[in-house]
Amino acid sequence: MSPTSKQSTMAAQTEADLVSARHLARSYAKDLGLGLVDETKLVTAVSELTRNLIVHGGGGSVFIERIDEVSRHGIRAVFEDHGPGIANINLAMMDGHSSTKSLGLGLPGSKRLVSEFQIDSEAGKGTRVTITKWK
Amino acid sequence: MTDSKSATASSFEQRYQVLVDQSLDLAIYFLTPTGYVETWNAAAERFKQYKADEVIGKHLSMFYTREDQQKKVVEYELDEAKRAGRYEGAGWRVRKDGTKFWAEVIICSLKDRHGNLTGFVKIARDATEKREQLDIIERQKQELIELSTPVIQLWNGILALPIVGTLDSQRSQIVMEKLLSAIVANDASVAILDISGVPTVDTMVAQHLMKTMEAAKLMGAECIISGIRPEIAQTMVHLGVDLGSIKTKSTMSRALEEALDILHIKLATNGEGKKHL
Amino acid sequence: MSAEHIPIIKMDEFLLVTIQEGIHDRLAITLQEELTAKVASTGARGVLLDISGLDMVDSFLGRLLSTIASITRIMDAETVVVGMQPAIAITLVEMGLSMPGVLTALNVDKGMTLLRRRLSQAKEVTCVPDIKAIHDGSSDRG
Ligand SMILES: Nc1ncnc2c1ncn2[C@@H]1O[C@H](COP(=O)(O)OP(=O)(O)O)[C@@H](O)[C@H]1O
Ligand SMILES: [Mg+2]
Repeated sequence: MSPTSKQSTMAAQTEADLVSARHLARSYAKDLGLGLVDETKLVTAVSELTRNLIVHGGGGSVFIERIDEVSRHGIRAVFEDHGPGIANINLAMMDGHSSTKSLGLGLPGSKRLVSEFQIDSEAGKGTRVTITKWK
Repeated sequence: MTDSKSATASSFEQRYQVLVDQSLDLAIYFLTPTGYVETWNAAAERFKQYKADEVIGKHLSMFYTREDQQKKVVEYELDEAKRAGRYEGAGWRVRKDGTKFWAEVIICSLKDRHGNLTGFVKIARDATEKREQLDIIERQKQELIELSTPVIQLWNGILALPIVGTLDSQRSQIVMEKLLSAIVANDASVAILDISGVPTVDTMVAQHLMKTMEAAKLMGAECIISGIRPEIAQTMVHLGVDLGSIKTKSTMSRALEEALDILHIKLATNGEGKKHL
Repeated sequence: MSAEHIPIIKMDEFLLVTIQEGIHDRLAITLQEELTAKVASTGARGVLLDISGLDMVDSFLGRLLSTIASITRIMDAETVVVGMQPAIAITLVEMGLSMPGVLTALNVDKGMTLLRRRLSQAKEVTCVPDIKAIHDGSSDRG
């Protein structure tokens, strides 16, 4: 019935994976019927966080699932890597903070694009970011 | 059942039985710990069209839509009832003839003295009419929002959106999206958002307005807000809303002049220096 | 991969680049390099970056657009980003990425008009008052 299954996992190592992650997120958003604006917000957040995985985390995995609760429906995505981790999360979450001289809007920006945002990271161990967008 | 004690007990049971049997509006029935139907009553039969012998021993999920079955809604509801002692919810259920009705349900878990789950009691009501009325109200609300935000083409390339009535966060969002898509659809370089018909503006709404302007700018259009009433101007300043980067005009006609100016359109002027449209 | 290019088309004194959906980072960087080279070799006075075919702009692409605009400006060619979809605009604003200083237009036509106007203004700094309406004049209600 639905083109997308309930959940998908993909490895994210290269730029081609980045494009795939965006496509995957879009198909989940379309399947849920998020509406174009929210769909674009979700895909953009997924793009930011997948790029972080690849650029800062040395690659990792992207997990996307459709959530159907009795009274609400949404999409959750988890980005996980075993890279260097983030020593100071508060700093990383600040607008404009970047260790690579890029815009530093990936983390704080994607937080503003979704309904729920959670980041867990330990220096030397890795980083996990979980986002949820409710319909 | 001869001694008086058990007579009382049975009369309590009888009273309870009468209550359940005669209940016209509430389907009341028991479930096993794994969700199989144990008892049935008249109201349940009336709502779901199944007779007692057709359902007893069957799993509760038979009344749920295929979609809900796939989503494991029954399991979720029973788990919740088990965890919290009680689950309250609503959803579409399927009658024997395949038609649907909107059920409002309460599921309570039953436990023995040691806290072991012995089953559930489910109390349900057919609230289809109420649900349909709510749907109508919601639809009318949406239509009203649509209708109350017309997009008018004032000039080639100039749009006006006069907003009348309360602007809450939800409506601002709709207005924002409507304005931006109207800009694309009409190939309009300037859009005037007139808020003279808006009684108050709070921080959230003011922020939505700012974001709308910024988004329009990114698309290559200008947005002018007109009709900011003195009270709203005061509120905005008090709220610390920075309108610095935003074009505001007191009236729609001033906004139109500005819009024409942006488009480099010059109007013929008569002796008094008044502009003809 | 390295054979991939984004076509840069010359239109009068301007360059037109149409960025397609699914653009990846390396291609975007290649574009930045090739475009600046082309501005230099053609002496173009303006660049139109048509992004109407894009369904998403994240901070990487947003930054790239700003960077291209800054570089071409130094080379005396203004860049106009044209055709951003409303959903993308809303998303960028929500993210906090508003690309200050980047010129924008609704479509390629309007972008050209904007570039021409800025060029003529630059040429005629001394005569301000009566610049003719460059608006396409099709105002059907006048
Ligand atoms: N997955 C990650 N692993 C390690 N560090 C990260 C990760 N994600 C983000 N960071 C750190 O947080 C900073 C801010 O990230 P972000 O807001 O996306 O900005 P940017 O990617 O532009 O630098 C990064 O510069 C980097 O130092
Ligand atoms: Mg980033």
